[in-house]
Amino acid sequence: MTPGITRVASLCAVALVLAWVPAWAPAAAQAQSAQRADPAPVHGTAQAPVSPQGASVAPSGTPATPDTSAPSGTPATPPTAADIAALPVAGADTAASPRADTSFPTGFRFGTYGRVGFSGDLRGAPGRTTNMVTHGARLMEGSYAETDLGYGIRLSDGFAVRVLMTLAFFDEFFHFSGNATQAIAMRNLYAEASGFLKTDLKVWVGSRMYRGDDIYLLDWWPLDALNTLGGGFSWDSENRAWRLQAHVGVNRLKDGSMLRTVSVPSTYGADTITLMERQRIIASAKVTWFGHKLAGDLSLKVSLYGEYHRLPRGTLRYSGDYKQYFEEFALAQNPDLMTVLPADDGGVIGAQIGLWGFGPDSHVNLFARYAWGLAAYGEWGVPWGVALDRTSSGAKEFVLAASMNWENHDFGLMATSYGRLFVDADRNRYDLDDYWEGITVVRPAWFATTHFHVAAEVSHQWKVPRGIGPNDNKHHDPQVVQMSLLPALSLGRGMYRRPEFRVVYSASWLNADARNLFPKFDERRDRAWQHYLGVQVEWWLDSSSYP
Amino acid sequence: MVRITRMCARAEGRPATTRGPCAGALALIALAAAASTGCFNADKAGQAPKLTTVVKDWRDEVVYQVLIDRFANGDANNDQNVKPRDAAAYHGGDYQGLIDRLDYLADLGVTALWISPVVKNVEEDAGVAGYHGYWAQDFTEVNPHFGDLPKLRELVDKAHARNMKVILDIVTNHIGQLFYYDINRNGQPDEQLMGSGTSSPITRTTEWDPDFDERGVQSFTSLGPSGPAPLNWVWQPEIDRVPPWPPEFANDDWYHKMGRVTVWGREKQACFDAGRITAAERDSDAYWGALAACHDYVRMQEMLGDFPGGLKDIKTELPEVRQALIDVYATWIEQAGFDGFRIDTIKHVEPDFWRTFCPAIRQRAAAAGKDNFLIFGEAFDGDDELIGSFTKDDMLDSVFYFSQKFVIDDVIKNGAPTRRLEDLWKTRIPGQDAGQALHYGTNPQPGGVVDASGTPLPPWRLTVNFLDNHDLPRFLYQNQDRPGLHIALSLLLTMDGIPCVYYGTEQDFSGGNDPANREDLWTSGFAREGETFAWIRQLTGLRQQLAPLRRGDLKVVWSSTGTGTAQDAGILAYERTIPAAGGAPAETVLVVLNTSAANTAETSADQAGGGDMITSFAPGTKLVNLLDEPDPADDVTVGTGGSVRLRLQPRTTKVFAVR
Repeated sequence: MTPGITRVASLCAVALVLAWVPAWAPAAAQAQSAQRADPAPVHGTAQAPVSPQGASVAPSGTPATPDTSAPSGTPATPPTAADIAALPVAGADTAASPRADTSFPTGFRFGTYGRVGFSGDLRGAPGRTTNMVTHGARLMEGSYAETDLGYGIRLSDGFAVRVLMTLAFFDEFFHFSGNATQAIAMRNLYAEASGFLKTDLKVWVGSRMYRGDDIYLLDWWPLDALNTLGGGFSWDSENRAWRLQAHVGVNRLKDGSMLRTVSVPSTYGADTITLMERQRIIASAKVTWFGHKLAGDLSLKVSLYGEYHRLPRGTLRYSGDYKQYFEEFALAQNPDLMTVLPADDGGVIGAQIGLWGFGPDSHVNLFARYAWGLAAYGEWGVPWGVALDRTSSGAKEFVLAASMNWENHDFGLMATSYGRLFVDADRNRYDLDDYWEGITVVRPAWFATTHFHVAAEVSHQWKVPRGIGPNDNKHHDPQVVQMSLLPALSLGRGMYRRPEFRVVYSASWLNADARNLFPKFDERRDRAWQHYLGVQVEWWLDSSSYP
Repeated sequence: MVRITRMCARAEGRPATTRGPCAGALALIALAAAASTGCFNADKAGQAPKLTTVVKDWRDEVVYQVLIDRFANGDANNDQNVKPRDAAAYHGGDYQGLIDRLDYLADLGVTALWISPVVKNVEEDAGVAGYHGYWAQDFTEVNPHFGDLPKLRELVDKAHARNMKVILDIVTNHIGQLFYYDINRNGQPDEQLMGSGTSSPITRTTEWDPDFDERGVQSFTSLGPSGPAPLNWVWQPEIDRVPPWPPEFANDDWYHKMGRVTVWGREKQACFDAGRITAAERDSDAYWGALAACHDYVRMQEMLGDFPGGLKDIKTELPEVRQALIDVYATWIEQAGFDGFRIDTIKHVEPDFWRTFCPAIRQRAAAAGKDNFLIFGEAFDGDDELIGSFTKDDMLDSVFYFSQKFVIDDVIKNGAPTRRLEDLWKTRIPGQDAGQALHYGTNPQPGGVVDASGTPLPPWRLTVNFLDNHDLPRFLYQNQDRPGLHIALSLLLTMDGIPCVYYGTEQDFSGGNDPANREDLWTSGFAREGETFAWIRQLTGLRQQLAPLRRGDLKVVWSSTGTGTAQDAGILAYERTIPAAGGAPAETVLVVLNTSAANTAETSADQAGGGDMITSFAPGTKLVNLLDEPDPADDVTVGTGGSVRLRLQPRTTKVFAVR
C-alpha cells in the first residue's frame, strides 16, 4: 500500500462520510424512529436520553489506555425537548423561588461503566494493540471499569445538591495477573448544587472528569477533556439556547517538575521536606449555542472553548538557617534538585459544531483545537523538548477531527477521522517529536436481529515525523491498517446499545516504518501482519460521567 | 487571671483551693489551661541548669564506666533499630535505665559515673551501629537512642542528688565516617583493586578508609597518580551520615585527609617501609620509641591519621577548630551539668591542642558555676612516658593509667614480679627514686582539680586506674580467675589515684574484644549477691571508711623480684598515709597483697638472707586487718624497727589499720 495514497484515501473517506450523512440521514431517521420499540439510551455527542430520574444515562468512553492519562465520561448533552418541557416555565415560579432543577437525581444512585475481556494474538500470548498514533482505535484496549456512587437531595425550595464519587479500576485484574494489588483511581469526587437562584446556575467543587463530547471509536475527547481538582459553574439560559461553563482547577503531579523533596536528618532516620512544589492552575470556559429543531428534528450546536494553563516559577524553598550547609550537601550532590524552573503557561482555543436529529442516535461532530505552550502537552503532561529557557514556549498542537454516527433499523455506520500536528518547544526543526499524525476509522454494522449484529471496522493510521530515523537517516512514514470483524450481542439494535458482548477479530498490517517504532529487539518488529482475537463485553449503566 | 493562676497552682502540684462537685471538670480545664498558658513549664526543660560544684576531692570517687546502650533499658520508646542479638547493634539501654539503677550502683559503692558519649552518631556503618557513641555526626544533639536533653539532665540531677558525679565521654580527635576520599575520582565511594599483578602489585583500596599517606591521600586513575584525592561528603540522612554539625565542621580544610593510621603493633616495620629507619634498626632490639626517626614518624601517623573505621581526623591545630570544639563541648557542661570529661584518643591529637582546650574548658565550666572540673584522657598505649606527657603543664588533669593496666595484667595473670609495679610507680610518684625521670605532671593545672581543702592537686596524684574497659578484653576473658580479679580489684581500690570499674565487672562478665566485651548488664538481673559484687562493695566501703585509702600518699614497703615459689613472690605491700597536719596525727593504712595464684608468700626475704618488711609504724603498734571477716590471726603487732612479717595465702589482700 502506498503511504501517500492511503492517507489521501483516509481523508477522502471521512470527507465523504461527512458529506453523505446529513444529506439523507433525517429521512432515514424519521423512517426508523417509528419502528424502534425500545427507548434507546444512546451514546454520542448529540443527544443523550434522560433516565426516569432525569439524569443522563448514556455515558461512554473509557481511557484510551489503562493509565490515568485518559479519562472516561460522556458527552456534553444538550437538553432534550422532554427536558425542556419538564422544566418549570419561566415566570411560573414564585418571584422569590429559585429555579428548581429537576434534572438533579435525588436519593442514592449507582452507575457503572466497564469493559472487560480476554484476548490472544493467535500465537499463545495475550492480544496487544497495534495502535501507533496518540489516539488509536479502541478495539484492542485493555480492561477498565468505573463505579459511580452518588446521592442527591432536593429541597422543597428547589435547592438541590448531588454528590458523586467514581472509582476507576485499571487493567490488569487479579484473576489475570494473580496480583491482588489493584490499580484504583478516584475519577470523580465532587458535589454540585443548583436551584439557589432564579436562573439555572449550577456550581460544583471537587475532583472531576470535566469534559465535553467524545469520539467513541477512538475513546477520545478531542476538544475538552480535563481532569481537575477545582470548581466551576454551568449556566443555561432560560430558553436553553445558551450554555456557559467555566472552571478553575489545579493539579500538582508527582514529578520533579512540580514536586521535589529531599531527605534530611531526623530524630531517628530521615524526614522528608518539600523543596519545591508548584501547582498548575487551569482555567477553562466554554460557551455553546443550541439551535433546537431547526429543521424537523435536526438540531445544531456550536461551541467555542478555551483553556489557560499556568505554572508558577519553581522556586526552591527551604529554611534560611544554615542555608550554605543545606545547599552544599543536601542539594549540590543532586543537581536536578537545584534547577530552578521558570514560570510557564499556555492555552487552548477550539470550536465544535454538532448536528443531530437525523436518526436515532445519529450525529455529526466537527472539532478544531489549537493548543500552545504548556497546554499543548495536556493537563497531565510534563513538557519535554523544552525551549532554551526551559519553558514550553513554542510548543503547539493542532487538531482537526470529525466523527459521526448514523443508524436505522437494519444498519449503522460510525466513522471518524482526525489529523493532529504536534510540535515541541525545542528549536530542532527536524525532530522526531514534531509530527503530523492521523487516523480514519469506519465501522459499518448490520443489525441482524434485535440483539445480534455484525460490525466490521477498518482503520488507517499514519504518522509523519519531521525528524529522520536514527538508524537509517531517512524520513519515516509509519502506517498501520487494521481490519476487524465484530459479531455482537447487545441490549438492542443500535451502535450504542449496551451492554454489548462481542467477539473481536482484528488483523493489522504495519509497514516497516511502523514496526520500527517498537523498541529494538521487540519481536513485533519482524511481523508485518499481527492478529488479535478477543472476547469482550462493554457496558454503561447509569454511568454519570458528564459535565 | 486569678483562675488561671489557681489552675496553674494545681497543675504544678501547689495547694489548690478549688473544691466541690465540679472539681473534676475544673481539673480537666485546668490541665488544658495549664498546657496552653505554659505553667507546665515545658520551657523549664529548655533552660540551662544552674550549675554547682559537687566534687570535694576527685580521689574520693569510685568511677563506674557505663556504656549507656548496654547498661539498662528504661524506656521502650527509644528502642529504635534495636537488635539485641546483634552484638554490633543498638541494644536499648538508655538514660532512664541508668536512672532506674542508681540504687544498684550506690549499693556497689560507686560515686561517679562515666557515661559513654551522648552526641548524635552515624547510625550505622558497614553493619555496625554507633551505639557506643564514638562516631559523632552532630556535636550538639543528644543521641535519641538514649533519651533527650531533659532526660540527660534528669540523670545528672538524680545522680547529683545521690552525691554521684557524672563524667561525660567526649571525642575531639575525629568525627564519624562522614566523607570518603574519591581516589579514583568517579564520584562514588568504592572499594577497588589496583595494579596489574605483573608490572605492579595488586592492592586493595577502600575509599572510606585508605591507608596513611603523609602527602595526604592521593588519587589514582588508570593512567597513574592524579594528585590529592577529593574529599566527598555524603548525604545519607536515613543513617545520619550527613556532614557534621555544627556546620562549620563541614569544612574540607578542617581535616588532615591523610588516611588511616597503620602503625598499630608494627611500628618498626612501618618506619622501615616509610624509609625512616634502616633494616638493621628494624631488626635490632631497640624500642621503636627510642629510635628518634621512628618515634617521630609513628607519632606523626597517630596524630594526623584517621582513626580506624574511617573516623576522619580533625585538624585540631587550627585555632578556629579548637575554638569550635571548646564551644560544642563546653555547651554540654552548661546544658547538662557534667562534672568532668573523659576524652577519647588523646594521643591522636597533637599535644599543644590540650594546652588550649583544657584551660578553656575549665574556664567555661567555672564561669558556669562548675569548679573542680576533672579532665582526663585515654592514651591507649603502654608507653608510660607518652601517657604521662598529656598531664604536663596546662594539659589534662589526668589520664587512664594504661601502662599500669598492662603491668597489673602481667603481675596478676602471668605471675610477673610485683617489683614491676613499684618500678612503674617510681616514674609517677615524686621522691620514690631520685634518679628516675617523672613522666606525669607534678604541677597542678591552673584552675584544675583541687582537694577538699582547695589545695590544687597535681596530675600524678590523679591517675585513673582501671583493669579493663570497652576497648579491652575483660579481665576474666580467657581465664575465669575470679580470685585473680578480686586481687586486682583490691589493688585498684586501695592504690592512690582514682579507681574506675568497668560496668559488668561486678557481675563477672568475661567478654573478649569489642564488641564481646560490651555485654548487656541486664542479663545479670542486676544481682547483688555475687561474690564479686560483694567484694567490690566491701572494698569501696573500706575506701570510704579509711581516708588514707582515698587521699593518702603511697609508699611501697614491699615488692618482690621473685616469681614462682620464691618466699615473697607475689607480695606487694604499700602504705597509704595522710601526713599529720594542723594538729591532726598522721593516718596510715597498710595494704598487703599476695598476687600469686598458687604461692603462699611472706613479707620477708630471710630465706635469701634479707629481712622482714619494714613499715613506718612504731614498734609495738597493733594493726588489725579490716578486710574480710575478722580473723584473730590477722592481728599484728609491729616489731622492731617497724618490721611486719605476714604470711598470705595466694590471692589474698589484707588492709591493716592501727587498732
